[in-house]
Amino acid sequence: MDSLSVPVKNIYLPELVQIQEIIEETRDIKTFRVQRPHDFEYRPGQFAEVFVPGKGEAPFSITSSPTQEAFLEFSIKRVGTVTEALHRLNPGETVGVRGPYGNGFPIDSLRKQNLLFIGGGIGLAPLRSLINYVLSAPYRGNFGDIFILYGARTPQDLVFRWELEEWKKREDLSLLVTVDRGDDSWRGRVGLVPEVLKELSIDAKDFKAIVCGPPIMIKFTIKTLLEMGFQPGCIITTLEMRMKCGLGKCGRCNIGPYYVCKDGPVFSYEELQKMPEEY
Amino acid sequence: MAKKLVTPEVFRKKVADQSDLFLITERAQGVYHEFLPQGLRVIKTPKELIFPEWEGVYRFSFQDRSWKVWEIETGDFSPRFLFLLPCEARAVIEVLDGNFLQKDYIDKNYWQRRKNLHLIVLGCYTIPKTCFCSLVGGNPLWRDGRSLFVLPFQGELYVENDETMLFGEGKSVDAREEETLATREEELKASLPPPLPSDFPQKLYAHFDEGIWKDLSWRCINCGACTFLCPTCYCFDLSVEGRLRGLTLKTWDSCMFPRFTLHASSHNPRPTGKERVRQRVMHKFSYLPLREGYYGCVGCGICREICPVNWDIRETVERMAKYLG
Repeated sequence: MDSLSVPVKNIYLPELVQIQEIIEETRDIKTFRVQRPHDFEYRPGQFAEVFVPGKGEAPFSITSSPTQEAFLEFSIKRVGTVTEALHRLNPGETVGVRGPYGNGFPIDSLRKQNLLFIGGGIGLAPLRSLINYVLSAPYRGNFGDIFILYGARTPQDLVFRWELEEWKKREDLSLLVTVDRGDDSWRGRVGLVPEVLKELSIDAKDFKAIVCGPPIMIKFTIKTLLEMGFQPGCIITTLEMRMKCGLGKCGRCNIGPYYVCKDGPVFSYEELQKMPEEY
Repeated sequence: MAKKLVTPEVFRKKVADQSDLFLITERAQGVYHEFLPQGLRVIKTPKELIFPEWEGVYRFSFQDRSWKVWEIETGDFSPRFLFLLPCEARAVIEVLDGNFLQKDYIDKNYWQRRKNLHLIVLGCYTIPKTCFCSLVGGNPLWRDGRSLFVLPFQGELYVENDETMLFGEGKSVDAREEETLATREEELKASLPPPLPSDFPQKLYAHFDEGIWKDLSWRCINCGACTFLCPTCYCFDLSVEGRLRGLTLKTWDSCMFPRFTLHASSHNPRPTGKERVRQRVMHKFSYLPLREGYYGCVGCGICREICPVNWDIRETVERMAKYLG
């Protein structure tokens, strides 16, 4: 026991931060911009535990890019107790944040590569952190072509619409937005993500694909990517599991011997193939 | 390392004199009752001392129009000595310490309780039928060089490593006695069933999808009693108690419960008893060995003793070992 250094930190204690801004993305998704906690250095794809005092705590992927130094953003869908409580909060109110946790995207292996981002619904949130990171001035030159395919159920379910407009204006990326069901005002693409993906003229040899969305969408998208000739190691995705501690101790988010909180949440399809299908 | 023989009378008296220092597990007391004084504090499982059933990890409150969070200062715990069986000691040293004191994230609450808890391993001289420590690499005389060790021997108590003089000076063990002890230890080990094959964790993992899991799990009612009394089970929940002032609690949790893995979206990756029993067996016999190099089971057999439906993890493991060939 004596050989262990004295832990000065309580690993479960969050730092309280103020909500700076809340953006209503859809009828059940809001983006919370909060003050960045002290010494909070993270990589795109990592997540944090957000604590609502008196209500509970839940893990959320960080959707802002680490290049944004002043704040963190979380895009949160209202589905359970903690998210319900979060949705009731207003700018100026307080939440706790601890983290960052998880492995994040393998940025080193993505360097010099062409990147194909495929997002479904709120699954764009973790991708957005990486997208804005690679698009940021200091790093854009490190990456090749960028293609973003984003789909949602209806035009009303599209998140980050304000940012999609900005991405659309940029000349150093291609953006294709699709919805499962259009409406009268929708002029864009209609079709499920895997189907739209099939029609893209993308040479699998030259791209790495980063996929995030609902489980069913991920499943069919990966199938399509494999048909297009993507190698399993060139398909990267993120997983979700119920978590509590976020740092590999509480024992619930494992898939086989891998902890999603510690070894993930980012896995390549090659890694997923070695894991039991229990997620 | 000091090795000596202490008479049962001296041992009993020393323990009685310092009784506020000592605690004992229920199982260890069952084996050693004749050597011990009355009135020692008895605990069910060692984990309740260092990883209690529930404990606050921090407090929060809303005062003067703002929220505050702060650590709960427990201060240092006074030094304590816990009598426990070799399997229970292994559970603490290998599995619980392995989880909570992992270098990247040290659990401060655990560390504070653990650092002043000294283990006194009581060697087993009766072996109940429900035990199977040798199957998972242990044995009834297993001890860690850093703990004290006590074993009845030729009418006296053999005491190893008593640098703190807890049980008195005693008589040094001579060469002949030492040899007798060593021979007995070898004979005892040889009489026990051999450990599981070293490739058992890999093989078990490779058979994740077998239909046999349904068969193995059907009797289990998922009550979770085994996981609560298991000396190695460390899974926990973090929950909030109180609204405007309260605390975040760390409480025991169990992979036997459906809500353990229930997503907010209502999806559950382990929806039935089959997946949950498989998780319990796999975590102990495959995932932990593959990840950390030790089994998550020490073969104490308490889960079998208290199971309301006589679900037997040993039977399951032996059946799997046979099935895997």
